[in-house]
Amino acid sequence: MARKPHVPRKVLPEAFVLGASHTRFGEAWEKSYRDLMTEAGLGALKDARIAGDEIDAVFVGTMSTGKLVGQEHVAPLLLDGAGLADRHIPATRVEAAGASGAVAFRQGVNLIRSGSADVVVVGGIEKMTDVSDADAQAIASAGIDQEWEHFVGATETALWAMMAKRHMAAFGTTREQLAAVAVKNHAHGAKNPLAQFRRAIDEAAVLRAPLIADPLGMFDCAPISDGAACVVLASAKIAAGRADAVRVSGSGMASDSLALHSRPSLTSLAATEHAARRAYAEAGISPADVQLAEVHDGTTLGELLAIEDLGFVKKGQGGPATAKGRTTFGGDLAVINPSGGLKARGHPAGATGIAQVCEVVWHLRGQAGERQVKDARIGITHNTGGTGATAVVHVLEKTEVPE
Amino acid sequence: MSVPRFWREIPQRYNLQAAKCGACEGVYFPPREVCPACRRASIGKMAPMRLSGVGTIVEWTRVHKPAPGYEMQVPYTVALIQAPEGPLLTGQVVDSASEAIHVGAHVRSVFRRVGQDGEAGVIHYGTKWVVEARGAEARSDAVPTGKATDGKRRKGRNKALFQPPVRSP
Ligand SMILES: [Zn+2]
Repeated sequence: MARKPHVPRKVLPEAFVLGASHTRFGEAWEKSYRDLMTEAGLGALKDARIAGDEIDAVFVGTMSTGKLVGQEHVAPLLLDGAGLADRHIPATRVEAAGASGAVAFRQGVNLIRSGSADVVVVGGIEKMTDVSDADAQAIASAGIDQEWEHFVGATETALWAMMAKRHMAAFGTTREQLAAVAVKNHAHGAKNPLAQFRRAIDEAAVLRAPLIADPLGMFDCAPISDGAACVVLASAKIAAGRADAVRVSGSGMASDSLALHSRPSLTSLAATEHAARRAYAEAGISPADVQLAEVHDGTTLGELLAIEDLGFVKKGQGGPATAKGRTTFGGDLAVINPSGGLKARGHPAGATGIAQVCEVVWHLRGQAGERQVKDARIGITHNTGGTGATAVVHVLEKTEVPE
Repeated sequence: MSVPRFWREIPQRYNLQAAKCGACEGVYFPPREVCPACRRASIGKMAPMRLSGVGTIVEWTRVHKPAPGYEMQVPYTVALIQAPEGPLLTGQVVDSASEAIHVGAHVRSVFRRVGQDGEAGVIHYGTKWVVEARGAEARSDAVPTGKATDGKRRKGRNKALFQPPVRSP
């Protein structure tokens, strides 16, 4: 019973991505939280060719800095690190578990669309390796229902594992098809100099990896990572004449019950479906128009659900489509996760949603190097939090140079 | 979990206390103040009720990387459990032979230690689940086979979720 999505793009100012940068993801033991943030922030400002005085607002997406590095109140840090504290720019932190980055990005888009800002900087960051692996896992699971899921023994991966088993029972998805997601994303990540894992793996490696929650093993799950990402958003006025500006033509966000057991379906994420419908309607596109998609593969099953719920394939067909190579380079569908996805690029929670935007921007500009998706004109990003209680979808399009 | 936060929830945790909507009879666990199906029409009509404490496994997984406090139990089983009254619950299945744990298996709730605050802290208790012995399975005819009590809310529920429970011979 979804309401018809609101379609603002014809009447409201449009938002463009002018600059994009992210640090190498992985275990950055030699870099502090501040170092990572500053590196990504300065990179994005340089890429956007703006000095800093033009910035009207800052948003930072981060999941759990308090528990991970002991620091809350992190939004001003991005500005401070870039030497811009004395400009007194409003800076806001945004949190939505693993979707923190995309929700922050959407705040920036909305602010520009509202007409009250011309330049907005949006960062995303997580520094996860300063705590033990077990602690990082527990903190990452804070995005599920603490009282009625986590406390009774479920972890986020355990919930995805049960969804995977339901998907297998309902649609005949196989263990090997799940593994195909990891194999593909590692192959993609091998060509991404900023990825945490830059080596290809084979199916056998995925299948013999230690189990996290049956049937999902270590290679079915995104790693614990450090990293930061940053983009500069601008209004049409600022983006005019910039051939490398990327238009944000659709923005959709949706929510659902926090707990998996409160949702009607265990084999699709309704929040993804709703977010996608809204974003596609704004942009006036369908999945067939998309050449690449950065989707939330926190687990291998997550990518299968994503490509189904985003409409690239029919429900239940995600496994066969992936195993047949339809979602990689040379396939007949959009290239899914050319960056390597969360699995191989790494998943510093708050940074992921922004890194997805960076990746799509680089492809639309033709700057993705060895992994460039040919003739990329439209790309989408899809970022979820927890087991899908938050989902965000953005549509990005190559700009026809505004004169 | 902090001590006050835990104690506040004791009736729900110990007694499987749910809430039933007086307008549509939908049952919710944990209890809700407002029925998501009836919303305004349910205000003031949500009555507490106790779940029977039986259910059917809808899906399960063996957890190897544990939630905090479960380190000593690895690997352990977590399941989604369909209560005959309507709600789906997440819980740990304990004291059950691994071959007895399957989709459709009948379970009943048991009262167990769940965790502890620190080394010498307050011990938390709560509900866990055990697979019912074969003889007892026969009397669980109340387990739903496809009709949720709160049909409106469950309309979109995937069919696979509602396959009739698999019965052992
Ligand atoms: Zn009701």
